[in-house]
Amino acid sequence: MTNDRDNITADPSVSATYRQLANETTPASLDEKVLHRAAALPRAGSSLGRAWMKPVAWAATIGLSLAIVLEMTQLPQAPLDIDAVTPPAPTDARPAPAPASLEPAAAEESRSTKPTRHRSETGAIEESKAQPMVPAAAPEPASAPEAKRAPEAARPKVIESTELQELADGDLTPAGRSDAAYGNAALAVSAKRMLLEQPLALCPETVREVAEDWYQCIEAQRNAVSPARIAAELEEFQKRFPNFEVPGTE
Amino acid sequence: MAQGVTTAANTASLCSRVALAYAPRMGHVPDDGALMLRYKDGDIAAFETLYRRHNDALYRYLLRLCRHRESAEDIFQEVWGKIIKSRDNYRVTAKFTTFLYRVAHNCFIDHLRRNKRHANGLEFDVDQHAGSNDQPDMDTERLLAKERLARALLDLPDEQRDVFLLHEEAGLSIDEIAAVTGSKRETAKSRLRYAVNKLRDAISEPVNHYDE
Repeated sequence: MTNDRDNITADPSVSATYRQLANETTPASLDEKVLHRAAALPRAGSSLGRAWMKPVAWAATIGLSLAIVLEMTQLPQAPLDIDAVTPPAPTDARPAPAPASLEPAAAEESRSTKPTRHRSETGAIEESKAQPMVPAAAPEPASAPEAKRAPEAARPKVIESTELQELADGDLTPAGRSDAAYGNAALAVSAKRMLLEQPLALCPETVREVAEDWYQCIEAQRNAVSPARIAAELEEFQKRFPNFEVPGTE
Repeated sequence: MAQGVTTAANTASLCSRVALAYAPRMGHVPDDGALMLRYKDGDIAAFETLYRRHNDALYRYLLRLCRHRESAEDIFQEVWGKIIKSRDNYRVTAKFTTFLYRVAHNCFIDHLRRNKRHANGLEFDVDQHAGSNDQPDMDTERLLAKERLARALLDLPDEQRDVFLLHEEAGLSIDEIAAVTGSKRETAKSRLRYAVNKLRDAISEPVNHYDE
């Protein structure tokens, strides 16, 4: 089809005349230049010259990938440590209530974490958010000077806990510190909590020595902490002072 | 190691040379693409065969296209230089002739843009080339026809002359000419028809109006 159309445009007389006319040949010097140039070009396309390049490139790529993976697995994982140390949220009853001195720190620590982490730890976050700061929640006895002295005696431990509180408080907020600083402070909180090796209590041990003080401490924190913690603390209180009469029950 | 590589390359080249030497006797003519692939593997003899197959036609194409001998020779070297350089990336996707003349066409276009000297005057000696191969038995009419054709060819527009030369020298079809020149098929066909008609008229015209 195409050749038929081409024949329409071709003319035998014109072609024959042109064939007689076109008899020039390439000058020998030009042939020599081109052929010399073709022979002088190095053999870039030889298969032996490039045979080793592909395996080496693949090996380098795989080795680099493995090195990156190993490097990433050996990185310190500070936020994960915090999650591991954070106690799980109580569902029904709390077997071992935590001391009051460190609980706000845990609450603030949970508060200072990012929102996505809050959503994954629903129970613990709800509890820690409802808990106020320890200095504000410190029991203030109404009239008795002994009762006033008792919370003051308990203050050193509370102050000790405020150190953790300061670590976990405003300085740890994402707006206040960078992620690296936050990670370091959270690690310090976790390490200090691990050193204590005992659960946090609602009231300090010095307050627990006197029945009235302990009871007032519990009552003072009734609205601040969860009912389960209050119940647990009251249960422990009744075990230690079974004969104590509640002031309002007479 | 290096000696082994050299020996292997020499052996391959020798085998290729032998194959090329005996190929015509065996009735097997290696394809242009196959020759180019052999040259890609380092076979210089394959390139020489390829070059001898196309050098004269390409030279005449460029000579009549440029109408200037030095320019034609420059472009000729440039075209083969590009072919040599492109051997590593060469793939048999189209006819080698189409590839070769496409490179030549583009080099000529670049030459036109770079250098306008060929447009300033006709430096191609028509009379010399028209009568350079005169034979004693050639009658006067045929000699005149050649001369008329040579003049008419040089007077053609560049596009028509290009198409005619691609058809006559390279033996390209209309589709291939369209591919080389980057134009539509109908355009290439129309140009070829116009060129052939003008040349036919010039040959058959008894009066030499070019001298007027």
